[in-house]
Amino acid sequence: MVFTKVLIANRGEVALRINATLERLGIDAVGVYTLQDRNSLHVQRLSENYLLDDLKQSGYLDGQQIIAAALASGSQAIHPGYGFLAENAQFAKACQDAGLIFIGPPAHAMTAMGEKISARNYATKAGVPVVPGIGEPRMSNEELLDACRGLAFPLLVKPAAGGGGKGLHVAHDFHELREVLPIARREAKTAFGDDALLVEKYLLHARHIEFQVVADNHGNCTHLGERECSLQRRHQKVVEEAPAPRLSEINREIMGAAALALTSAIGYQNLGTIEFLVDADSPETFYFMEMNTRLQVEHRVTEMITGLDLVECQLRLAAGESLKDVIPTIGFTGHAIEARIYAEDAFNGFLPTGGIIGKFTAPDTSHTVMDSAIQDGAFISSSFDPMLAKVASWGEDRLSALTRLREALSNTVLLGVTTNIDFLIRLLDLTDIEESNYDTNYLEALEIERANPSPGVLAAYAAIAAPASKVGSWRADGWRLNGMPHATIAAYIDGVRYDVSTESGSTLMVDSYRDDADYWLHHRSFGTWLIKEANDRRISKDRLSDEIVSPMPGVVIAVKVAIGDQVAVGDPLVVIEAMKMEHVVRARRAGHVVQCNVAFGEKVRVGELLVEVVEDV
Amino acid sequence: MSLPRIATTVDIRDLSFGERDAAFRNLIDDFTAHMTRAALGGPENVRIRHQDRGKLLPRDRVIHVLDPGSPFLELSPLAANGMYNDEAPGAGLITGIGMVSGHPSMIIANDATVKGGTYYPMTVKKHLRAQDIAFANHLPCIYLVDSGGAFLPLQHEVFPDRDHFGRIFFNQARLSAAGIPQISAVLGACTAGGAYVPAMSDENVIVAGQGHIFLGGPPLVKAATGEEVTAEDLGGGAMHSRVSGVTDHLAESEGQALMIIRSIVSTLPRVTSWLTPESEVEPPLYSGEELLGIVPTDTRTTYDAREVIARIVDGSRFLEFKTEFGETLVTGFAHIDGYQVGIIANNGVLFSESAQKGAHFIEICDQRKIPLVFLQNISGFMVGREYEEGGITKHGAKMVNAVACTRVPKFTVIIGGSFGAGNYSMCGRSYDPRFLWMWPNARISVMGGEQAASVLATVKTDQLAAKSENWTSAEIEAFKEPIRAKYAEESSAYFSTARLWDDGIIDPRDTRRVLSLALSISGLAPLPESSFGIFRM
Repeated sequence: MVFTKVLIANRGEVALRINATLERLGIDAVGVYTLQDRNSLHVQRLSENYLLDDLKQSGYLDGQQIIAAALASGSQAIHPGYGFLAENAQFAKACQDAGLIFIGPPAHAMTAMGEKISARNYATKAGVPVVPGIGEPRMSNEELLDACRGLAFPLLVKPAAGGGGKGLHVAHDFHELREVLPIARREAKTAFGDDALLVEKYLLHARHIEFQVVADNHGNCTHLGERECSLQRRHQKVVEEAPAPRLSEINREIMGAAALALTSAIGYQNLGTIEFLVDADSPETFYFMEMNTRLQVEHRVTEMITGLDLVECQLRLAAGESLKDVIPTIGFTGHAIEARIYAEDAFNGFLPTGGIIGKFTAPDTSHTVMDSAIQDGAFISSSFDPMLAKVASWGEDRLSALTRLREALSNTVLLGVTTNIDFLIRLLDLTDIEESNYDTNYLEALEIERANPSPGVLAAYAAIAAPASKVGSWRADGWRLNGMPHATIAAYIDGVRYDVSTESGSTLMVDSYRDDADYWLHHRSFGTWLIKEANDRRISKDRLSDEIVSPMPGVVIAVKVAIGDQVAVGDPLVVIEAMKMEHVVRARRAGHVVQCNVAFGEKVRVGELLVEVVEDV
Repeated sequence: MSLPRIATTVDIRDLSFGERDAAFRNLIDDFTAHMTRAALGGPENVRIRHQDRGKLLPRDRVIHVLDPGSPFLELSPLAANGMYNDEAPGAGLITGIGMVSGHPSMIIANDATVKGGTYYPMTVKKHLRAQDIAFANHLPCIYLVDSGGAFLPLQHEVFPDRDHFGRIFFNQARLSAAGIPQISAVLGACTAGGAYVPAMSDENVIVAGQGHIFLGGPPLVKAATGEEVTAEDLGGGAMHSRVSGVTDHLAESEGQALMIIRSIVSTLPRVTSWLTPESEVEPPLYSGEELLGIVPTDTRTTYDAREVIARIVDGSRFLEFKTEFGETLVTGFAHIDGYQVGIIANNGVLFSESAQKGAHFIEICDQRKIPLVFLQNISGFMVGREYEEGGITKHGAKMVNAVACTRVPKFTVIIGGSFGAGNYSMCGRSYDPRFLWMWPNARISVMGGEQAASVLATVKTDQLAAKSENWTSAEIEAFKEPIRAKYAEESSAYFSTARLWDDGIIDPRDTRRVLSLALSISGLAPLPESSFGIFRM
């Protein structure tokens, strides 16, 4: 290997994942981080780290700073991981220009596949079927509408420059399409800086099957089998497995060949993934969807059934080794399934959550790998991807992999932030999943509710909620005169009150974490629960409004908000000058501004209404 | 070194044990029925309306303020029982001691489902009693206010006198002056006099849109000055927190207000007790359950008080003092949940020796700073020429003097009869025990109903004889019967507890826990110097 030092241009679990391979191969790893991440696990784990300034954008997106760090550290190559700059052709080019090796495909291949319209055209040229639709650059809304007249609804509107499931819209009829186009364009412009759109037939029952392709710099390519990633919500993958459970051998061969044809056609190098949609109603019909020119989040399942280290493959291929040296033989053994753990309330419309991780313990299940970069005390903010960790399990067959994954999830303790772990466990327990009876819409249409807390949950809560005094006059046994009916402890779970007796004879092994008045409990059989003390009960009311008045007579010298603005607690609203001092009036609750009664230069009396903020519920 | 164990002579297989047990369980069932009824508060439709307004019922408020699982030593839950046409369960007020943010605290919560939380005469008495207990035991007071003020139809029994409504605020001022925190949450109306509860508090919280404080409500304002104003503008949380400054914390909801109360209490300085319990606590050797089969429901039947002590104290261990002198009074040392106590229990009528022994024992406990527990079952002092000659009055006076003047905390449990001067020497209500409880079988009156009927019949016989008249035994019986009936009613524990002559009726089986809780807070107030009046020798 020609590399002795490689910079990892990423954060979180993927940074740790790449580092693990570098460490094993004896290659020095260099990390980068932004101020917000200064205490992150990847910074702690790596011995050499460079601070990136969040100037106009997140430091992780700032190629110049990263290249400077790579040069300063004496790295020969940059591994971009996934997300951030991983599919940025300009960055790949800039690396090359700086004399650094970008571990990934050449810039031209990224450009070819990065833009959806172009990718569609390449696929068509390579003889790979594409979803019926309209995709030509620089079409106006009207032109697009016209062109769509021949297509059958529903249609899917996609940003041509997009990825990761962002900015997708489904139109069920012509009228809806007309409405959606300008919105989609605006979103595409904001998210990707390019408002070009692509309209395709929306497959109602489709399965997402992707092929892992690998190519060297000498014109050789092969594939490492497929993965099925049909279990998605909001077009983001949740569960992935390899091999695809319902793919016939013949289809596997045909699709694999199509994937390789496209790979060769564009002169691809290094690791890539070609995503197909398979019509669930007629499994021999498949369409090219897109190519991801990078390592995939779900690469673990391929590694588990092939025994390869895909990051090592990437490094060696980037270093110029030939495919037959890097992967002399390809064999598949068993089945692997991965589940992504997201900070979201999966039982409640997959709403994003956040907070501080109070307790995290990875499972120690056999044949299971957990990738994560979380640790106790880590703050989960909405500014990065909501994925907290991923767990992948291998088994001799699909059922044993599934069983192992469920066990691993049951043994994962992650308290302090609401996650989808319990949802995943319920999901993987469904007959549909066991029988591979699902498609890409399955998860969003799925209605499963979490069970009521068992007496075990409540007993465990009681035991930890009243830990202080088990003896003495004031022992927390909820004693009342005459044993009158009473609640020893009242707790609220999902707004429902439970009266809990503190007297329980049995022993329960639970992990618990207390965050103020919130109790987090985990037990391997009954899952993770957030229980609130009765004292924390907020009686539901209408949205609360907060009228912010001037604290003193003075002159308004700045108005920082306008009606409709979102504000967070502590955000400056108005600055008032009085007695030669500037007083910043700040938001006392998060919400949006519904009234803003003052303007610059205006004189205000004490107690005069300045701004009204209404809490978002 | 452990104290000796009491050897029981009770045979729980004995037929009479079973009979007494069954009889006592009837009393307990009746008691439970009373308690359950009172705990509900006001009429069902009013409770539903209260909750429909998003307000918590007062017992739920108490739970929200207490630490999870905290015991709650409720006081006089049957106040006003049988009074005011039974319209005021618990006198419309919940008072009691519970743990709040680690501080034992006195909680005083209005029940707005009972006539809008207005103050009946017994409500005032119950409120004042809770403040007295807070004073004696240095307990922070938490007022959960939701009251329309005085119950106007009975204003003459509520407003003018020394121990009437105004005394509440007098007490708040004096409690605060003594360094005992006064904290209130305004969860509903605080009208007229009631407005002073939060205003006289050291720190308070009000619920926006729900709590109101004003001297005169909108109707009164309109009548007085013609001004039309909404309750919210006149005395709402926003106004009082931002304009008048009457309130200190503005809560969005009742739940939050109660949380703020908990936070406030958590900032209070910790008070240490001069009483420290033993770290190792041995439960009684004999089960408290057995009390029901030991204690006769008829106060005329005698039994050995040691059998009761054995079922209350740690390990049933009791070091008796002067066992063979003045045997009708049992005195000695024991522990309750680790707290050392001196126990004084009746074992029959009081004689001169018993009274002297009692006075001596009280002096010892005072000297050693050991709290006293009185187990009262007393028909009175012995009467008759021999005893008067023996100076039973002056000996009784010694014990009364000692009981009145001792500085140590006193706790009285009336476990049977409480008649005549025996009540005084055994630390009756007038002798300021920290707490006084009654068992459901207990009776209290100046003398027994039978004695009273006989005394009055004898007086009448004498009057008739003076006029050379007499009456038949049937006439005498007809004269006696209503007297007995009146005494029977007025001497019952329910009659007593309704009028706050005690701090509540307790199940005998709860005695140990109740005493333990009371003992745990009794050392928070500093102990004064020892001082007694003149003992007549």
